[in-house]
Amino acid sequence: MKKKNKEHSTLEGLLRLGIAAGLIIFFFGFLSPRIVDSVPAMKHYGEVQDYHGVHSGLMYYTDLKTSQQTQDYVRHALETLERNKD
Amino acid sequence: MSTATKGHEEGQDVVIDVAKSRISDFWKLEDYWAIWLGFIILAIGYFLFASSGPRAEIQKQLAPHLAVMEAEAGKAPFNTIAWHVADNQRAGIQAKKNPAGKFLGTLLTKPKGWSGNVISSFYMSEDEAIKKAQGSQGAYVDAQNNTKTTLSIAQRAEEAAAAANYEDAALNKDAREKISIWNAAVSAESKAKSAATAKPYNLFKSLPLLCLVVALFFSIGMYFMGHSVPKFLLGFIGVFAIATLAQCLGGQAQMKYYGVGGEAWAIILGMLIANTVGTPSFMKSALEVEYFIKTGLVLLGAEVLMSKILAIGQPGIFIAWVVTPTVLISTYLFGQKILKMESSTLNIVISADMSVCGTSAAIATAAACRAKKEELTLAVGLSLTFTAIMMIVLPAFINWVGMNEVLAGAWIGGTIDSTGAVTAAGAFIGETAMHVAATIKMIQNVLIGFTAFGVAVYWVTKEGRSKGQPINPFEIWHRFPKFVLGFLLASVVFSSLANGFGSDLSGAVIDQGVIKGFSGTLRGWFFVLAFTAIGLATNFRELAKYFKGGKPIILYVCGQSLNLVLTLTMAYIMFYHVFPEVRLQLMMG
Repeated sequence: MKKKNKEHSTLEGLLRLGIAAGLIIFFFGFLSPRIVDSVPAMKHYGEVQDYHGVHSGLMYYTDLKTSQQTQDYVRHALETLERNKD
Repeated sequence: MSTATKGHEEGQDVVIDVAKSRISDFWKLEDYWAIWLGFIILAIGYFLFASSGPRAEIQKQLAPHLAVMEAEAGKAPFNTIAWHVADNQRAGIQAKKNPAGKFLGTLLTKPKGWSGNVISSFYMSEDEAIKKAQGSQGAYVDAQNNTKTTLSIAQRAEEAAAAANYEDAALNKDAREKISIWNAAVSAESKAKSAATAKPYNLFKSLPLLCLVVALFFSIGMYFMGHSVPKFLLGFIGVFAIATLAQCLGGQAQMKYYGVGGEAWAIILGMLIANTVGTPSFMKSALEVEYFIKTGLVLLGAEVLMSKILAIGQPGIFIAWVVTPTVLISTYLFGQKILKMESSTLNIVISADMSVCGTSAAIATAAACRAKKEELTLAVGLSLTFTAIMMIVLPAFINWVGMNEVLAGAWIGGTIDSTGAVTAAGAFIGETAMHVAATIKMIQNVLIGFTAFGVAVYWVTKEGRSKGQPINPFEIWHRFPKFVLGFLLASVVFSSLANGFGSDLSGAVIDQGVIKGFSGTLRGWFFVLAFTAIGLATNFRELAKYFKGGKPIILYVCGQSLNLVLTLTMAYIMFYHVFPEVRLQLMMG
């Protein structure tokens, strides 16, 4: 009886996991690309990320490929400002 | 993440902490092992990329380009073409490109970005690489031609400005603009070149090796802390496999629209497994959440470089270092006094991740105040949800009102939680907004060290103390989360090294060597492993309890509203009234 219950809960767990995985695949594989295609702002949002090689999910500034470029951009702008003041 | 029960107050059922320090703590406590392991990695990184040998080599390579830049800098009121050429060559000199860096780059690689075929996240054959490169060849040739065309236009404009001895403001402006267009073309060509030189890869070979190396590395501490090493090794394989799958899903092309990366997927996958089929028992001996997180945080300490605070001068300090702590403290007090949050640790973790910089601040704060893993999960979940909304809505609103790019960048950088989402939202507006947003966020990132230290001190002296507990320096020391000291020490050591080397050399050997070539990548893996372990140990029902009355959401929304108002006000005052010349110069690049 105990063994049967365990088998039942394992099957139920697998079924739940399968449903969750199916929903994730449905959302990201089917629904999301259609949402992105129909909202120009979102499409543009993806394009600029691809162009600059950034990902909105990155956690820290050192994870970004653009971090050096950013630091150089700001540093050079401030150096030029200082130079032109002199 | 909470501390173990250590004793009971006489006659009452109140749990109090009566921790004591012993010499054996140095090899028996995970806080110390996080420090030892973190510093072993940092020492290896320093030796490979920043010690005198590699440093001298990099210095030799940098010297001619820096000399050209210095000579060119005084010529004109704008940066000349020769200056930009030398600067691009300087930026390409990176310590991680040495043989050790290339080997580690291959070993530590996480699953690649992919769209339709999940296998391409792990494997690309020689034929596929050639095919991909050929497909991008046309775009590369176009980009090369564009660079040539824009260069000749820029050269003519610079010559015209030079002929007028750089005294004609209109000619100077024209030259600056044309050079800027050419520079953008150079950058586009470089991106097209990387696509046109796609190389084959096989992560099915490197990932098992990485799993073995990391497992053996952590098992040293596990052995001394008295855990079963074989059981840990076996469990670690399962945790690593889920962490790898999380990294793979985080790289799927759709994820960038929602700000979901490997860390988020690690929690989602872990929780899905734990709450459906249940966490396999063999994995339980490797669910060492704190061990992974604290080691990752010591490594993160080396990335908290104090010199970055001045990256954008005084405006940045006011926006990031005045507004952020104000919002953090106000939100925490609001949660305690007005909302009457049941858990002060949940309150401070949400306040920190909302006001400082999202997930990384949440991890550091949670570890510093010993929050429960469910509290960290909830705070990260809230942050991800609101980041996904704000990174789309805020740039759309900014575009709608036609806000200036510098102001917009500062607003985005100071308010959106996650660093990646800040950069992406800034890029949505324009290149200047992207750089300003990322810089403000970088300055906020550095606040993590102060936040973690402040929270740790506050918790051991005020919040975490039970009634009747003595408060003396020894007690503070006993209860203080020691890994925070490792985190701060790493920050102080690497900040001092960076200052000593100067911005160009430290950029090449620390940022683009020790961190991006080694410790930063490992830190990323450790956090994903920690989040996988958190997910595998989290029960949905337990998590739901923390949502009681929707207070965490109210706290986040109220805190973020204050953040939005204060950041915009401060950015406006700084860039329009106090330092308008900085705004104008940043607009020109």
